Amino acid sequence: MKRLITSLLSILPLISLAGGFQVNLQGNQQAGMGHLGTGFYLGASSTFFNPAMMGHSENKFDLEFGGSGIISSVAFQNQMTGDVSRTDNPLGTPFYLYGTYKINDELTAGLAVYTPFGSSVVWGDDWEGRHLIQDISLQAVFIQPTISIQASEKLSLGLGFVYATGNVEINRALAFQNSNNIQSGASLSGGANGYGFNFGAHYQATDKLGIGVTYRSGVKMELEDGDAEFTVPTPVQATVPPTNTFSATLPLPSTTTIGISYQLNEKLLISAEYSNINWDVYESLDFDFETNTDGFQDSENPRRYESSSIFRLGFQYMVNDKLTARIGGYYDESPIQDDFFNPETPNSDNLGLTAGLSYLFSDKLAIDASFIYINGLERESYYTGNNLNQDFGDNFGGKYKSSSFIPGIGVRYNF
Amino acid sequence: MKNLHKILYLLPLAFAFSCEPEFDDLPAPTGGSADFTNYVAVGNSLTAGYQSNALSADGQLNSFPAILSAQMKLAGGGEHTVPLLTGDYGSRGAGLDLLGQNLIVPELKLDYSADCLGEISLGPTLDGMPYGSAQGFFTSNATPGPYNNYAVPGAKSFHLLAPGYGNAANLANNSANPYYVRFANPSNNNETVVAAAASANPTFFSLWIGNNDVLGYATSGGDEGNEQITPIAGPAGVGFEATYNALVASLTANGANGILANIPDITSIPFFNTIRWNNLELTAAEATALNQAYANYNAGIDQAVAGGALTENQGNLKKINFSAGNNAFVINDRPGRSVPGLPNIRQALPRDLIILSTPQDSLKCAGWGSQKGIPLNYVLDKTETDAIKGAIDSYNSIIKQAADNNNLAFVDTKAILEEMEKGLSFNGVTYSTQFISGGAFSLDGVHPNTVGYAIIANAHIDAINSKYGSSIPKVDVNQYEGIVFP
Repeated sequence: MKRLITSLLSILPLISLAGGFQVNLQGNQQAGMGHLGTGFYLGASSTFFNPAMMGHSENKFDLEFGGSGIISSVAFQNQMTGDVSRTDNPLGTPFYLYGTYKINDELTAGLAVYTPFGSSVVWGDDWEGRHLIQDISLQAVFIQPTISIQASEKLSLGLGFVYATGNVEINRALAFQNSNNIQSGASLSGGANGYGFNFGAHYQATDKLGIGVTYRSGVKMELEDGDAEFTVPTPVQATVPPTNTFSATLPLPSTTTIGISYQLNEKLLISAEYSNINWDVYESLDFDFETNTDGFQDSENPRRYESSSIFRLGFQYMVNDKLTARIGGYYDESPIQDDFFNPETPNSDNLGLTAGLSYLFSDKLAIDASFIYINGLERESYYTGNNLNQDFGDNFGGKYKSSSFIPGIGVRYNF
Repeated sequence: MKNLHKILYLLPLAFAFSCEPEFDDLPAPTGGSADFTNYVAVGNSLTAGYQSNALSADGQLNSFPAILSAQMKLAGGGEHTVPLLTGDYGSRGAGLDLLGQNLIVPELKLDYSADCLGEISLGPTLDGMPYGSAQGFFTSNATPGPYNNYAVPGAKSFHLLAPGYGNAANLANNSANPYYVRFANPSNNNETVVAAAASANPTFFSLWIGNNDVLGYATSGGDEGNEQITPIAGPAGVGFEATYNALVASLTANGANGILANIPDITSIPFFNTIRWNNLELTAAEATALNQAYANYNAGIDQAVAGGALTENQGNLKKINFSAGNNAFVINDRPGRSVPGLPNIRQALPRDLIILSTPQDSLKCAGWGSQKGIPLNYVLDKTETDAIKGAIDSYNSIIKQAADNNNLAFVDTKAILEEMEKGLSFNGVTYSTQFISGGAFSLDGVHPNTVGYAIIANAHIDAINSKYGSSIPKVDVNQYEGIVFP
């Protein structure tokens, strides 16, 4: 007869990865006015915002690069005890780099490098949700060669091919206890990549009125051969291999945007946008481990995200020949249902308030600065995961609230 | 617009101040219509904090009433005094030997040991040598009464009404319980457990009793053991119904509020589900050799069928057959089913439960379950489990009725265990009824560990809050000690 301890499945918690982690910081001019730029031209960053408009430049070459610093804080309050936990997140540093080359009046080529998805959440090793997540770091870089054509006097079209590459690291506690009090845990890390495209169309209806539509496709990030390290008590190692590898697929959602802009007068432009993000592709996150045992199986983690919308409004005001000021705001719905809210991605409905300035040092050189304040609205949410109908268990959750302060700076140069 | 950039300089400052999100404080916990100033727990080992086959001071301090009272304290509850074990018994624990050798043994811990084949594996082992003498145990008590915990390991319902159950003089004739002797009222050592609890004058009480009324029968192997299922009928002190109602009447006599817990289906605990009916693993060669050895036996059964002594169905149940892989154990059959001249055996069926204290060495090295039948006192067959389940259902309807009649809170521990069979999740950790790997049962496979007791405490809190409108906060189950690996 075999020894009695054969299966350890039930105390091995499920492994999970992030979602709801779109980063909307792809241009400091746009960031200053609610992060919109689908309906009107703002330089080489159009390669991302609406590639149709790359050819709207009057220059042969346009270059633009910059970045932001995300200072974010998430707080959690247990509704039973009132205890509050706070994240200690490192500075997030999304960046962008764009270049466009106007081949002729009809055709423009461009290249964009940007970071549309990422997340950096550190709850700490000992917080009460440690069995779901201790910390996560996730970033994806998109590289996008692009062309645009001026189809008619009013209509332009653009298409970019996206190669996405990224990496992820997740740490979480496991419930195994041992006599010398070493915390058991799982550490998963790996690199992933995928492909997609970015399509845009722009129609200049009148001198004052511009309308843009973009479709940025979803990207299936395929993670192969990731490292899975498990710190578990020695007797458990026969069941839970200390070193393992895994593969996983993380679907990044597509974004469909329609934007409209109107030049109210010589100085003031107003623009509004609506985006729909098909987060419902993020149904479940499944980890396929290379080595399985009787007590250690692949892990399936329901996420059940829902499609979400973003509404944006922005104003641009030319103060004088050199200085442009911008202000805006947006409302960004969380795709996460209240029953499937995992603190690895503590994403609430976000209210963003933005302001920005651009200064032209010469005809060739401009500096853009932006500030964003995001108020992640309070929500009370729990993670039921695979335990939908339990009467006696407790799903982890409580009230969550967040805020972020994001200064950014960018440079534009043309020749 | 001229001053716009000045405003922008200030923006970062304004944002920095509001960068830390804040919450409103929760309202302070309250007791609602209940008064927790003197909470008294009454019951058996499950209320005493017994785990890993022993009562220890650590176990007492981590009993479900200890966890519950600490939470009650946040909602106006008072101190919780427990008759703590002291000395070696306090630290290593004191338990009754499951092998029936009448020794007092220390608690079980998870450690490596070698079996009869010399194979070393991890499993429950005694934390040191058994105690030579039990004398100190009976007097080992750190604190004077009155107490907040009047739970006595091993007590059945009627024991709580039994005079002299705590009188040392009665130990010799087995009508006293050493666990009660050690803290019974020194000035009235014939006082019943429930009278002692009532005289502690509780404002709130919990009562969880009746488990041993079926468990003693079950762990001693059912009909073959020396314990009976407590009958439903009969006067107080004999039958469960009258006894239970008398206990509730005593505890509510002064108007105390309280909570009654029902009896889980004990046949689903690890003790009865770890050695499975078909855990006999054989190679092809071993199976062939055993089949040859049983050839004459099987021929004898065929003869008995042919001669009409057995029906064909009865014959098929008694025939023995092995193949490579997992096989049903051979177990002894009930006495009425014997065939003259043949051993009275059959192979186990999925509904046969083999108890955890079946000697492993006998299974591995003495041919139990393969060359000969496992003795019946290590097996619960369907007749026995049906009797157990039937009694539990009857007890539970009496308990529920008592809760309703006396307007008391009620906690459905039977439903907890049923849910735990499927996996019960707390803050991202899932616990089950699996032995060791399930994480919530202690190493004896009968009693919860502290994680399990925390789950029980939370269930009590939910039931109390919903009955009395109180807001006792629940605990984070995962912070308690579970299975500790070496």
